Amino acid sequence: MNKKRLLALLLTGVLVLSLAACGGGNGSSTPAPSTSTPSTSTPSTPAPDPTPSQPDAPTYEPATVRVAYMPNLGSAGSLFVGIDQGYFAELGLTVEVYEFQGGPAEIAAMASGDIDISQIGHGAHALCIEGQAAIFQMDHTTSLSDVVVGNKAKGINTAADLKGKTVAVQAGTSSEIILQQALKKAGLTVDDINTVEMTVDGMTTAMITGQVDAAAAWSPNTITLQDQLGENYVNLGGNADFLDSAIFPSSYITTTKYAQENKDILVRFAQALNKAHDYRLANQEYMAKLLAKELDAPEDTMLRALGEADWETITKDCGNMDAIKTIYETQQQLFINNGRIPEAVPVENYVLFDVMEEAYKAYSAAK
Amino acid sequence: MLLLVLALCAATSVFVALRRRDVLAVYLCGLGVSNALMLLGVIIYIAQMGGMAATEQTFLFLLPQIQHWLQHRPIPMGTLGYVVVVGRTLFPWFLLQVGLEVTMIPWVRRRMKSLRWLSAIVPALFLVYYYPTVYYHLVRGRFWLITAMIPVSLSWIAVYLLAGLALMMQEYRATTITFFKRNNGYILLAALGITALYLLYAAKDPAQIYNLFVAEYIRLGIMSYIGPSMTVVGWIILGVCTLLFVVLGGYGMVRYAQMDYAENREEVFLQRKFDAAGTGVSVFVHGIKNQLLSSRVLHKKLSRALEKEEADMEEVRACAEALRQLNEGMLARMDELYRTVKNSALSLAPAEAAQVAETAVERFHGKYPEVAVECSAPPGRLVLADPGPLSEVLYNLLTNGCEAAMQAGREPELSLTVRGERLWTVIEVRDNGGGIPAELQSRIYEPFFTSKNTNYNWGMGLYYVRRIVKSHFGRLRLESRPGEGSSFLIMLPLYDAGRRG
Repeated sequence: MNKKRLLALLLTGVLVLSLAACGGGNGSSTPAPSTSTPSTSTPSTPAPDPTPSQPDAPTYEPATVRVAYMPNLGSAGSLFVGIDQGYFAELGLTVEVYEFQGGPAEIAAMASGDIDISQIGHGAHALCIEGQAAIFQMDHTTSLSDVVVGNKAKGINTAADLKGKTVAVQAGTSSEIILQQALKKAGLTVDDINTVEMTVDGMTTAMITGQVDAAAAWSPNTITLQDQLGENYVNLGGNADFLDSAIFPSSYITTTKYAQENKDILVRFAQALNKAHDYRLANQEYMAKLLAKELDAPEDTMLRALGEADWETITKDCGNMDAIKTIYETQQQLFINNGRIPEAVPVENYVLFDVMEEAYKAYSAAK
Repeated sequence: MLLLVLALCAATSVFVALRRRDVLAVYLCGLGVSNALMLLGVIIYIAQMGGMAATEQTFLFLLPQIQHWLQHRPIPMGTLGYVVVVGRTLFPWFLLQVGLEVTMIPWVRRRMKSLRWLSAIVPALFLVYYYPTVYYHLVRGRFWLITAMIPVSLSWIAVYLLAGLALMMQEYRATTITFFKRNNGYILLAALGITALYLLYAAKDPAQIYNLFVAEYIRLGIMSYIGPSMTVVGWIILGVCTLLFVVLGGYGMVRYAQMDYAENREEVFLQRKFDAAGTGVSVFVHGIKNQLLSSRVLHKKLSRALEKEEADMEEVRACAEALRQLNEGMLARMDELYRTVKNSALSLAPAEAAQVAETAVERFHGKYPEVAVECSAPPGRLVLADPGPLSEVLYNLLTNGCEAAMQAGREPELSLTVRGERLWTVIEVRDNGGGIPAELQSRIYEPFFTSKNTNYNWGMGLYYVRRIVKSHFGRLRLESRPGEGSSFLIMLPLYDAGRRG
């Protein structure tokens, strides 16, 4: 009997402990040190550092930031270059990285306090416009990574052939917007196709195995599809096809609460990003190899994915707040046109121009 | 790691279902499988969506390669989400069914069928509500439904879980017989372990996996499955607790399965023993033959004595007495063996347990008039029994107890108690003998097994006792502590005279 009572007591204790542990997911707990932080060792190609840190650089209050990214060049490029080159570290920032497969999941994790900063693609900007998060730095002016891929073997040669076909898509992402644009251009709507909700990795496998007829995917998965489908691969529409009327920027975002409490950290983070943007432009091949190593992806695929974003414009316009504003306004119009956003919202409501400007000035001064 | 846990849960569930082929095992199996379904769905979802810290990755997948493999599975989010829904919805129902199955509360047992049907209504409704197509049409444009239904869903889950566990705990507390208490204890342990695992992710809304209303889910601040912010210590505690739950739950289920298996195996073993009792019979024949040879010697002796002109009457009388004793002994042993092996059908009818006990004590006093038996049998308690063989059983146990006490050199203190216990009428025969050592406890029911060194014992007594108890649809348990005495518990199904009418 005594043994049984002890066991009952033990069980009760363990249950309480476990529930307490489970309850830790609400964001109040301290962050978990992530071993997924990129290694600090240099990749195989030695990297030149165009702007080595000054010996008399000011000291900063150390801070740790938890940053979400997606495993592709467009999303992770500047972040990993910044870590690799020590740009965050020289401003007193320790970066913990967390890999996500989509912007909405990043924002959800940010909203629950698990993540401080997220890098998002175009699609997830709609959530910022709706007030779920605030943009504090543009990462690049337009993405070129999203492609609606069709399988010719399934009788698909143009977007119009998608009618009645099964198309894999991940809701809330940029590629979903591209799919909508491509359908619109072909005189179709989403109701004309059978959509299947899948993650980009899942839809890649589904395309290769013939489980779906088409997929709204993005780089580097589109390169994998190109290789695997061979002659059956057909591009039914990508970002580049709609640049005459639209733009697909990607940005670094945070929660309004975090922005209010940690403006200094955000400015330092954005300043490091400005520096990383310059390095990224000048050393694209190095970046691709670095990411291949950090993301455990084939180097060849990453090198072929270098064209998935406009790396240059942001380095020229990062100090031009009017240009930045125009880009976000144009982007918002796209959401309004396809019904994703009911009415226009002032860009200032969700873009922290003050952080962006301050970071740019600090970076310029350091240069 | 959680993947390993799932494999362990699934293996245990299958093991239990295969070993015990009863309703309870099916519910326990359902419990394990539904929990595994929910956790598997969540794990695949997290693998596909990413966002985990390294510690969480280890906790969930053990190896990054496993996560990468799961990440590339082409599973539609609707299917994945509904798998989680099915597991999350069925688990509380199965837990309640386990609770209903083990409980002996008369009110509940009388309404068992209706309660089972009633308890299925709410889970069925939620399975329909969460079906992706239905969910999409119901919720689109009515986002208040998400916030309204989440607490409703959590409430019924909590009520079912608490009710199931409460029924099991109540049963565990109310049972005093060691065998049943242990049995219920293992079930409770298994249920608690699996429920703790279930609670890891049950509180979160599975519809978020469909990815249908992403913006609304974020706007409403609904808890996400992806939450890397727990501390390393938190993950370690969770990991250790999870392992502990699995070990406890698995141990409980396995022990529960093995108890029945052991009993069945014992049954098969005894049957085999008895089949092999041809050996016993030959021993018996050999013994009888020896005694007949002794008898022949005595006859010859008697004949020789009678052939004399003047017969030595003393010698003749001694021979006659020896022959008589030999004859009585053989008859008694023949009777005993015949009674044991004959396959006479019992005639079960409602009988007063007190009356049966009284008959047994009277018979016992026929043999040991000087030994007192403390008899406590409340009048009016009926059992479905054949009073003759049943009182014979009690007489056997009393005799064994008395002889055990004498062998131990003690003044016999015997008691015979009749009492009600849950759905059983328990007749307990307790003695103050030397007890039965643990290593012998599994052998005492074997035919021809005896620890007594006597010419009048063939080791068929307890085999007979057990057979008669089984014929009464009852169970026979032994609780014995060497040096302190033994208790034999005969558990007969409760006879409810009220229900018969």
